[in-house]
Amino acid sequence: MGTDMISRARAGDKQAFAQLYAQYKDKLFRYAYFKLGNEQDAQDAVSDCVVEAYLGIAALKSEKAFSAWIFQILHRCCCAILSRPKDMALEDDGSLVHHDSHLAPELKEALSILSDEDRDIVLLHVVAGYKTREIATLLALNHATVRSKLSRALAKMREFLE
Amino acid sequence: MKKTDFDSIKEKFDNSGVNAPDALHEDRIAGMLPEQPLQALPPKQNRKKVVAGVSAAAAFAVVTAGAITFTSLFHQPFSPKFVAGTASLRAFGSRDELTEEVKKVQNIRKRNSNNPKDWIFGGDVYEDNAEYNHFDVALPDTGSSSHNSTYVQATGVDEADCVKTTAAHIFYLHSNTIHIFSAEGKNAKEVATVEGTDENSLYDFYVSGDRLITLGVAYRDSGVYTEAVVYDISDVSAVKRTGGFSQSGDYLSSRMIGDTLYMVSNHYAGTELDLPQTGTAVSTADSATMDEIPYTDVFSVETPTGSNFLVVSRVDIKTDAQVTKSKAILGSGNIIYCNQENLYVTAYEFAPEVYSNLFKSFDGNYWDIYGGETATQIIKISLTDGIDFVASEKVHGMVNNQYALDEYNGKLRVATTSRDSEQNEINNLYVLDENLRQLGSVTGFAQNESIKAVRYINDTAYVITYEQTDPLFVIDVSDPSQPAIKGEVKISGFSTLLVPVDDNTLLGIGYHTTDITEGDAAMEMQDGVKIVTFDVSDKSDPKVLDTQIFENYYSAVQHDPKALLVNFERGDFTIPMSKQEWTLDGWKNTSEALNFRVENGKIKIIDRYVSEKFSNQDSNLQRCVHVGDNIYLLGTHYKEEYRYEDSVYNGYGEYRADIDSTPYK
Repeated sequence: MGTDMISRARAGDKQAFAQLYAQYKDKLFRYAYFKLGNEQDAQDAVSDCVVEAYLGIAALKSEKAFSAWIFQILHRCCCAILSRPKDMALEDDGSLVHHDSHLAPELKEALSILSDEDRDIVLLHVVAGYKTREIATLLALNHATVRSKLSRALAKMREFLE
Repeated sequence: MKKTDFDSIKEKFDNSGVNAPDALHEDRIAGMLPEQPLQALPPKQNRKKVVAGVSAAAAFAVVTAGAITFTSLFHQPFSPKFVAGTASLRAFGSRDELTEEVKKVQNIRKRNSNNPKDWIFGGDVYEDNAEYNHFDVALPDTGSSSHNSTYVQATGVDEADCVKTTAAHIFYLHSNTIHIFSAEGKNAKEVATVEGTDENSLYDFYVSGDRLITLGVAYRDSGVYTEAVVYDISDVSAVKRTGGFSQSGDYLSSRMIGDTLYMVSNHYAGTELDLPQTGTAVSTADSATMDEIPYTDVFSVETPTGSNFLVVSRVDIKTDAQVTKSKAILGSGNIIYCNQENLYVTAYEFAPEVYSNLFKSFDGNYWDIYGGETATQIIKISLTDGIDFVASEKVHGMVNNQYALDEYNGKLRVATTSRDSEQNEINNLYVLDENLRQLGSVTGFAQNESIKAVRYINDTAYVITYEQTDPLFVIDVSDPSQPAIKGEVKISGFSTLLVPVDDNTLLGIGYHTTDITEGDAAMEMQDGVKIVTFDVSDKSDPKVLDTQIFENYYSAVQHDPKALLVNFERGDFTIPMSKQEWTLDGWKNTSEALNFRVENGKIKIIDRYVSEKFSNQDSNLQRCVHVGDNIYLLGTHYKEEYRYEDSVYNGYGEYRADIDSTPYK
């Protein structure tokens, strides 16, 4: 797969775009799921994100940047869902994801002890693969703050999970 | 090997079994997509960088510039009435005429505000803030022998900063508080503080004689005001407020010439009646009245692109802001350059087709404007006799920072980065006369690169552009009608600040870069501080004399020239520098003051003082200053305590200002 996948997607080749997306779909869904806490919202966020990403593919200069770029869009779509009126939020009925392990609920619980901001930092770093400096820019925080919050949050989660 | 917290948590996420459900399968997704993506601009040739510098800057400008509007496309400017002695500026015959004009150019931003897309493309996560356009860049002032002055652009024109020194004290602004430290070497300690208020957040400040002048922005009476507050600091243990002044709008920048403060703000008029005001009301004092600037002191550029006013005031500090004068112009500002006679304010402006693309594009997204043709509007304001708007003019492209502008023998030189008809980045240098009419230019140099640093020394312009290597261009501007590139030299990495050392030597400070290639994609990492010296004795054949690289370090000076400490008495330089490493024990931080001089073109390191105080993982070293024989380091630490309460960890913490020092070696 070369960088021309992006050129093809830009020219309107939906299959090319879908293939790019396929490499990241699990990570994207995982990010949205742990950020939003339920599967229906996570699915909505990923759908919104994919449509926006496709429309805006012209802004993407290199396939190397695809991951950081699409997670940025997803992060924003998740924020949009979180800002919806509360009565529209859905309870997690657990019907969409078939967990093979006990880890998902444990991770959800571990994330719930963190502040919203710490949770964002952990998800952006661990699931989306952002560097702390990039997170600092994205969340408009001091780089040193992000680093210290991250190491503390990870320690807290680990302690909780062990 | 012991697993880190990161590895352990990541493994759990990877194995959590949370994967995209069938509804998000790529085949189903392909069916959900709209017919076509938004139109792309022609791709740049040989483009290797992940994010184009100027594109990012353009996106930033869209979000911040108050001048974006579509209405300018449709409205007919009112009948021109040129101001006597000025070019391309208009005055108003009555207040009604003024409000009528504001109504016509009402900003489209109203329609677009609250658009979540506003913020997402506003930042650039791939580069190390190198492109940040709003910072106040500055040329060295003489400074007194006992302590330094802020590194500024024009002699005799002071620039506000987060740190200032006197012979006995160091003032450091952090988190809305100015900390006053005694300059007692290792015994330096905080002796007093001056605090902003909840309503007024402090941006930067000046110290002039026994007066401290803070500049900040206040949100009150449902408006935004730029406030200057004057304090008497003759006795630092009993600092008292002696005056204040405020003007409508968001703080853009300021300068101080002698005892006179010049404040520049951007006031966005939400309605035609929301005209700019000034007054003595500041949020630290009991309310006082604000007065509208009379229409006779309000002007307009030839074709305003939005209902934004640039408000300029001169405030006399000797009288504690009792004597002031303000004027406004329908136009906007992003960067200011000021010498002792003239103040120049530049603003980005996008071509009509950019606005219409934006208008037509999906829900006002910004991606179509990436790479669109941009212009820089320049407004010239004479300061020799009050505040006089002199002229306004446009040049192609965008200005990198204030150092891209310089006036010499009455002529303004401006270096810009723009795009050619095929959307390739190109660079230009223009020479304009007293009324900003173009005398000559060099255009189209360094294709596919953008300007990172500019320095003018008399009749010569030194320009650093960058794509993957960093050429230094030497441009002879002695004949204003025919500026000409004399020579160039290439080097890896790029400088963001050029400092003249002597007639033949130029010092460059900036980024060390490394290329990373993965498959077909390549990107650059900025992973260190680079210091370089150039021999410019032969303009047609500039040479690199010496290079020092500090891998994995970063420095505030890479994006803010004010972080450069120059000791004119010793003839040396000091910069704050830090690096962080992730180790099995967590983050390890090393912060140091790098003291060096340039000797016969060689970079000679005198001392690398590693600060214990600023070497814990949460510290952040911001500035180095000097008083007497000591270098002082100013920065912050993060202090946090967290405890387990009701099954939840609660973190409490804050950044605290601190000081460290070392004697000069």
